[in-house]
Order: sequence, then structure tokens, then C-alpha cells
Amino acid sequence: MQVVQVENITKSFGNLRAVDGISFSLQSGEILGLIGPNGAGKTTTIRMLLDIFKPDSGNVAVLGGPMDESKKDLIGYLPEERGLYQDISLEKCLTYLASIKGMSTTLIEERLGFYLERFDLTEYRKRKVKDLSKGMQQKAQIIATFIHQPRLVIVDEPFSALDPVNTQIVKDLLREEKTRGTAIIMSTHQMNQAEELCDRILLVNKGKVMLSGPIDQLRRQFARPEILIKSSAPLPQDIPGVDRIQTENHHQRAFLEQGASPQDVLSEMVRRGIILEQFEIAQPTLDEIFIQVVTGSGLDA
Amino acid sequence: MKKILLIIRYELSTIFSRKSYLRMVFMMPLISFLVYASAALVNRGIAPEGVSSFVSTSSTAAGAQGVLDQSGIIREIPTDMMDEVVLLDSQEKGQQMVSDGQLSAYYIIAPDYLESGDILFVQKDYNFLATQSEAGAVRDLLSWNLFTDKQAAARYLDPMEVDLQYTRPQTARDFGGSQNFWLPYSLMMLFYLLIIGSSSLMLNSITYEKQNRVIEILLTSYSPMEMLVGKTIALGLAGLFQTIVWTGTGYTLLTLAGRQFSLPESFSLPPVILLWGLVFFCLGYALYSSLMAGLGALVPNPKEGSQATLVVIFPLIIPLFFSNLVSTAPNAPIFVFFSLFPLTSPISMVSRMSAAAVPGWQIALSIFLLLIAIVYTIRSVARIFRAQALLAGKPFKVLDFVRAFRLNG
Repeated sequence: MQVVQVENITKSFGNLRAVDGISFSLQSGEILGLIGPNGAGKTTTIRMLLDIFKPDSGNVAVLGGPMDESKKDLIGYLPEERGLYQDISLEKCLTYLASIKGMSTTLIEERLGFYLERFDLTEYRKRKVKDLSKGMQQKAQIIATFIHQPRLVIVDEPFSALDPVNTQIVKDLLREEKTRGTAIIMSTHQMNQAEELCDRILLVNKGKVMLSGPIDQLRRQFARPEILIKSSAPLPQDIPGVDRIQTENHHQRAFLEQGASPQDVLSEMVRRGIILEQFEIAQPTLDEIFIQVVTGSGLDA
Repeated sequence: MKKILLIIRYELSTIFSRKSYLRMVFMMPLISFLVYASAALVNRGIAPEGVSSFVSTSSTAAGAQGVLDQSGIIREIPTDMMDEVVLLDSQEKGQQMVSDGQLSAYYIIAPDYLESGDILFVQKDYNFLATQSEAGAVRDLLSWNLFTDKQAAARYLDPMEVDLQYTRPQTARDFGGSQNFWLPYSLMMLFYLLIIGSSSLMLNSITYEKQNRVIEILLTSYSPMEMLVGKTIALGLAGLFQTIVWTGTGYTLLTLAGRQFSLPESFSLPPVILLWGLVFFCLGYALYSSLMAGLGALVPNPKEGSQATLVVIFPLIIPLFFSNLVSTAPNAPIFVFFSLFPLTSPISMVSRMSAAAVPGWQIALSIFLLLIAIVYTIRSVARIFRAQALLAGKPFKVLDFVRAFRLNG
């Protein structure tokens, strides 16, 4: 089921065009990575999705149509900057944030207990929020985002301030929600997390979509004629189709000549009796694709 | 509607659990009661048998007074003073009647009064407020007996029968006079503090949520207008509670002090003025909390909010500069203007009503103008109170604030 359909939305603040014709869609059970440099228009796009801002033009359809009051309760939002009442107890804060999503008191009590336990915050439920660490506040914010079991979740830098253990808990939660059918938009600068969790990527820059699609497809699209090789001995320099070989930390990188086939290179190595521990067609990381698209530069050669 | 109720419930539960708010609401009444109790303790005096309670003291203070005439001047008591004065034949009798509560005090007119003017005033307790007014009875009695011509004596005691007439229609009550300064001035200050205090709650609430970034979360569930309405109602109720506590305390203390210290009529606070006070508080709060909401939307944090408050409250301060006028000339044109102009009327009208009779049409006009101003302000503030402003962190500019009102049409 299509959960989000954004068509050609624009938004300007004064003379600044923050969003310039962005379109994308999102299905239930899918995680979309919204990436881009600072000031690219990610937050403005998210705020238009959430109906906080109205687009100057274009259409936003959420859960089958334009946003209305009833749909607001079906959305969970984790902003980049923590938004919690500081002078009240964690329990009161989360109870209020859950209640504004239409949850009954009984249901809040039941789910709050579960989530506090899961995020190891039970003993802090009576503490004032301002007395909690940044990581704990981030976990509290994540609980507030998911406690009402939304059908659409928008998370902005969900792993901020979390240690590896808690990062894993949040990853597990995101995967569970995905399995449950929740549509998730994850905005992040941590490309490795996006690569690990997202089905598709939407890379925006200067208010426009620069790149979109499944991660594997993007990698293939940006794949370079390079092979990563790990062998018991240094590789000979005269392998046909190989332009040059560069030794790196744990492997050697073979740069292929224009039009050369990796399969032919592999066959030649086997024929020469070279013992290979690893033979991998080098694919760019999301980080590298990001840098290439945003800066308009070629990948390091 | 359900979301507005949620906001109201949350805001009320938060504010009533905040120590600073509770201190503000209850500290002033507590201090007032302590001051009153201290004054009452001082007032207990040094009478040999002491005082049993405030009530027993106050009941005797308003009773008749005795006169032991050793000079032979007092030959008769005027009929209209028969209930106020009792002639005594001995000091022991006076002592006994004061002890029994039949007299509040008694005077001993010295044998050589005509030469020395000496009079001894004997009372049960020291009463720093009531002594001077109590001396009036014996003064009148002496004057009456010193004059041989009783008509001249009557005219001396009551030299003028002044009829008050206005060139324009007025109602009868008009105290005037510097002795009436305290009540109108106190009411003006009281309602100034209440309106500013309550509407500042709005500013604090918005800037606090902006600072903590909660506002972005809230905006995914509420519309800015729902937030504005919910907060206005909730914080208004908190302000109304404070108003009732403060004015109720004031009324109770004045009633108690009136009995304790035999205060004159100018110290009394008619309940009807309190009712008008509640009306003008509600209207003043609606106006100023809306202005504070607009301010809160534009300032990035509580600190800048506090600094910018003067922009909003300045009109309310102006009548305070002219507060002496409210007692001496409550119907002076400038004070009539203050009590009609919406930005000053919430504190000026009640103050003026306590000093003089205000024509009904002026009260009605004042309320009407306030209602128009409230509607205009809310419409103007709604222009500012938008998500974009609430989420922005730009420094405050007075012009941005003023522009919202200028463009409203």
C-alpha cells in the first residue's frame, strides 16, 4: 500500500527556494533514506509531509489522501533536535506526548512500561527529563515516536547520541516496524546506517532530488572499473586488461583498462596459478556516491 | 476540541505543580495575613486584663464611650448622641464598664479643662488607627456644652450642608479626597500585577516549548490555533484562580481590619467592585495574553522574551504614572480616557470605580471597546502565530511585531 505520495512540491522562504520540485513515494513496510548535505531541504520536505508547512505548489498525499487531523495520530516523528519537556518527569512527559496521539490512559500505561523496559529506562521514569543523559533523552524521544504504533514514521538522525548497544536496539526496532508494515523515512548523515537499513535512497541537494532508487541499483550505477584482490603474493603488473595495480592496507586494487572485463582478468589470474583469497568488483559506498553527487566530482581514482 | 482539552489539562496540571506559580499565588496572601496578624498583635496593647481575641476587641471598639466630667462643663447630652456617650460618676465605674465590654473607652475631663484642655483617654487596648476618630464624640459633646446658643453649637458642629451637583449627569457616589487614595491605587496595582502575571504565563509557556524544541513535536499533532486557544484558556483559568485568591484575601483582610481597627468607609471594598474586577481581569487577560502569544511566537527563547515584554506591557504602565489622579479627580478627562482605552482600561476602570461612581454607559463602552480590541488582536496575532515563526530562531524585531497589527485588515 502506498503510504506517501509527494508530487513536485516547492517551498520558498523569502528569496530562498528551500524545496524545488521534489517528488517521491513510499510503500508500507519500506524504509526510505532521505539524505543530503546540511541545508539541502530535507527538514522542510519533512515538515511539509507532516503538514507543519504547506507547500507553495505540488501535492502531498499521506495514507491515501491529503493530510487531515485524524491522520496526524497515525504518524510518528523524531526530530533531529530533541524535543522534550525538561522540567517534568520522564513518565509525565511521555504520557503527555502519547496522549496527544490519541492513546487512552490504559494503553499508554501498558505500552510505556514495555518500551521503558526495552530501552532500559524503567528506573528513570520518575526522574526529571533534564536529569537524564543525552542518550537517555534520545531513547525517550524514540519511545515517544513509536509508542502509538504509527503507520508512517519519520526519523531524523535516530542514532544521534546513542552508544553501539542502544544503536542496535533502535535498528532492531526499525526492522520490526518495517516488518509490521510501517513505512519509514529516515533522514541521516550516517551513510553506513542508511546502507544497512534503507531499501531506497532519496538524495536531495539545493532543494532538488539528485538521485533516487534502491541502494544496489545506485551502486551498480556508480560502479567503477576496479577490482579488489587479496592474494598470497603481490600481483604481476602485466595482466592483460589491467591498467595498474595499487596496494592498499589489506588488499590490492586493480584499475581496469577501458572495456576490459573483470571475468577475463579473473580467468587470466587463475590460468597463471595466482592463489586468490578475495576477488571483488569494487562498488562505491553510499558515502562515495554522496560526495560525488553533492560535489559533482569523480570518485577517487 | 479534544486536543484543546488535552492542552488545557496538561497546562493546568503543569502550572499547578510548579512551585514558582504556587509561591506567587499564595505568598502574597500569606504575607498580607502575617502583616495583619502583626498589626493586630501590636494593637493588643497594654491593658491590664489583656484581650481575649480580635473579635472581642473589635466588638467593643465600635461601642459607646464614657465621659467622667470633673470640670462641670457637661450639663446635657444631645439627643442624637445618647447612644454614643454615657456619663460616668466615677473612674471605677468607667473601668468596670470597659472591662465588661459595655464601653469601648472613656474620657476623664480634668477639673481645670478650660485653662489646660487636659483630657485623659482611657481605653482597653492600644488602637493605632481608631483613636483619632474615637475622639470625635467627646469633642462634639464639649462643643455642644460650651456654646450657650444651641443653634450656634449645632452649626459649629455641622457647619455645611453641601449639595453636590454636576454639570453633566452623574450618579451620587463620589468620595474624592486624599484619604481615599489607597483603595483605588491598590486596586490598580493589584490588577496590573494580576494581568501582567497571568499573561506572562503565556509568554513563558510558548518560549519554553520553543527552547525545548517540543513545539515541533506538538505541531505534528496540534494546529497553531489549537495551541493558542488551549493555552489561553488554561493559563487564563490559572490567572483567574490567582485573581480570586488575591482579591478574596484582600476582601477578607479589609473586612477583618475594618472590625479590628474601626476603619472608615473609604477603606471598605464593595463586593460589586470585585465582580467588575473579575470581568475586567478576564478581558484584560484575553487582550494581553494574545499580545504575549504573538510576542512568544517571535522571540527565540525565554530570555529574549523577558527583554521584549516591555513592548507589550508599556501601555498598561502609563495609568500608574497618573495614579494620584484616580483618587483626587477620578472623573478627570485623562482618567476617563484611560478607563475607556482598551490597553489601559483593564486596570483603570476598576480603580476608578472604587473612587467614584462611573456612569453605566462608560462601563459598557469600555467593555465593548475591549471586546473589539481582543478580536482585532487575536486576528493579528494569528498572523504571527504560525509554524514558521514558532520554529524559527531569529532574533526579535519590534517591527515584525508591529507589522502584524498594521497589516491586519
